[in-house]
Amino acid sequence: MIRYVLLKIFSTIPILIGVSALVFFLMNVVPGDPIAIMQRDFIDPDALERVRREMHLDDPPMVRYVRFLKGMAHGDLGYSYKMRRPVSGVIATAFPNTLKLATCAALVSWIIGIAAGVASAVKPGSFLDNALMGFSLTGISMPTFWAALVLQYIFGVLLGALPVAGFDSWKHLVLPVAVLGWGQSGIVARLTRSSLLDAMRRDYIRTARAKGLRERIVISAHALKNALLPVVTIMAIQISSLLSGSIVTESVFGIPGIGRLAIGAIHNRDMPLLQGTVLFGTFLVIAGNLIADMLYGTLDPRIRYVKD
Amino acid sequence: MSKTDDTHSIWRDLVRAYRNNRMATAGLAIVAILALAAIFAPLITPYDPYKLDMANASAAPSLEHPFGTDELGRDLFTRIVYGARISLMIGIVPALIAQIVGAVVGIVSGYYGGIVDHILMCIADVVLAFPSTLLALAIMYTLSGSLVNLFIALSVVGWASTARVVRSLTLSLKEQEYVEAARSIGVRDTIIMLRHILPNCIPTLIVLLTLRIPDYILQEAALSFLGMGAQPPTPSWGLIATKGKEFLFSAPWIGITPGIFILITVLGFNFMGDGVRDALDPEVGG
Repeated sequence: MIRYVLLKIFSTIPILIGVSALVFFLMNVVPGDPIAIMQRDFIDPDALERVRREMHLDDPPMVRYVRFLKGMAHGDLGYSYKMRRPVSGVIATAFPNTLKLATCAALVSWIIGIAAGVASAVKPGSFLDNALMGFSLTGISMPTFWAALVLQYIFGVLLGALPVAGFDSWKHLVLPVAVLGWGQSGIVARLTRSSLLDAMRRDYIRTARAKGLRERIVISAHALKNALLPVVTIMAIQISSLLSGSIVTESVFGIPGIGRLAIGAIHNRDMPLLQGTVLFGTFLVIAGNLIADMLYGTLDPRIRYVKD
Repeated sequence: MSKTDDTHSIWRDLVRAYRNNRMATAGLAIVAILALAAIFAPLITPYDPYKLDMANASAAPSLEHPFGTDELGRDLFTRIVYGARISLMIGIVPALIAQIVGAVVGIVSGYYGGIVDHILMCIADVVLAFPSTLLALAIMYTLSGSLVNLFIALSVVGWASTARVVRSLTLSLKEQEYVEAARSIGVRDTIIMLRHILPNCIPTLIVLLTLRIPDYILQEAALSFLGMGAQPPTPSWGLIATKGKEFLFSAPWIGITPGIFILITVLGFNFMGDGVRDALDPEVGG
């Protein structure tokens, strides 16, 4: 198992390097000197020259990339042009908000998604199945921003029951979590359903039924245990789509998280900040994949041996 | 999955599956109606999607303007109809490009193996590591927001997952006896890949395409909504909704209506996609 874990960790190194290279060169081929952006505030040419030297903007891109990699290894992601603070600090302030939003949305999506998927799979083709799958498909098919606007309109404007922007109390969490959780629960529900239906066709289920076990036990103890394996992998993919979804959700609800940081960085052409948020988000996804891989290997030993 | 070189059987599978699948037929109908509306937009609505009419700004839905007007007095129904062109195009064109690039990379990678495979798959893994919206945003930052650039960004984001799937398919296909046979009589690699491997990847490619199209429509809407896709005054559904956000209290129809159409379009494609998947890939369909 330890060998498997180490192997997995080592296999992410080329990806980390590739990701950082792609982001760095993507950001650094942008025409337009960051100094020009700062010029609006800095007037003194000497100060500009000093900043240019401090940021090593005159070095060739390759030299700057290596320096950037070295910094990154020490957790230094550069300096935000706009906020005049280290990028890592800005991200550290914003991340807890995104984490709170994403964690709640993920929990909601697992509870609703697995429950709906199981209820659907128990009686395929029934009214309940169709209704739940319709609900799930709608969740997957609706644009996040639209769901956000509709909920804001209903609960904020018409009913006046919940705040539509900000991030001060639990009340502020309800609508964004509902928006993000609905879409995610659709994915989980559909996967749980098809995976459980697949498991129900297996021989060991026929054996369990033949033994005279109650249907409830057959489903919960025999089928679901195996059916949830693929659902575990979805959790890793979820980090990626939760981050993507939270960009829109945060910007509609005015939540000061990673997503809004990225959008703000784009509008202010704050390259180091955008670079930092994109890298940070991608590292989270890579870490998530790693954890899912290990979880999968732990839950299903067959995978571990095959890959060894 | 149909393991045959006869591509016609794919269409036969599809037709048969559609005949028995009401949802898939409904999806096809939705998409067909939208496509017709997009093509014949000037015949459907008398208004110009770009012409301002400040006297009628933010007018509520009425007989004259069934969906109301936007904050600049443009007829919202007209802008939605013209917007269908953008949504369908952005759903289909970059999705096709991503499929083609992904198929080529996947087949080459799987067929040749070795160092070529290592390098190509490493690049694919790098692309796959990004949350898709973040990578698209980073690309749009470099290229600046416009529809064409959005085509490029979405194509760059999408090819990798297709390449991964096609590669693993190729790995098993190249061990098949007919490929061995072709190789032993000296058929060139290019011909083997085109004539023997690619046709067997088509069903999977179609399934992946039907998954990608609705995803891209949503991505376009989201990126345009964030100001990083289509630019004003393009009647993109996402862009119309952005403005609607500002007028949510006074003129909610501006923000709500385009979203309903995105939802309907994406649902239509998803219904179709589920049908296609059941028809071509019984393993995946529940």
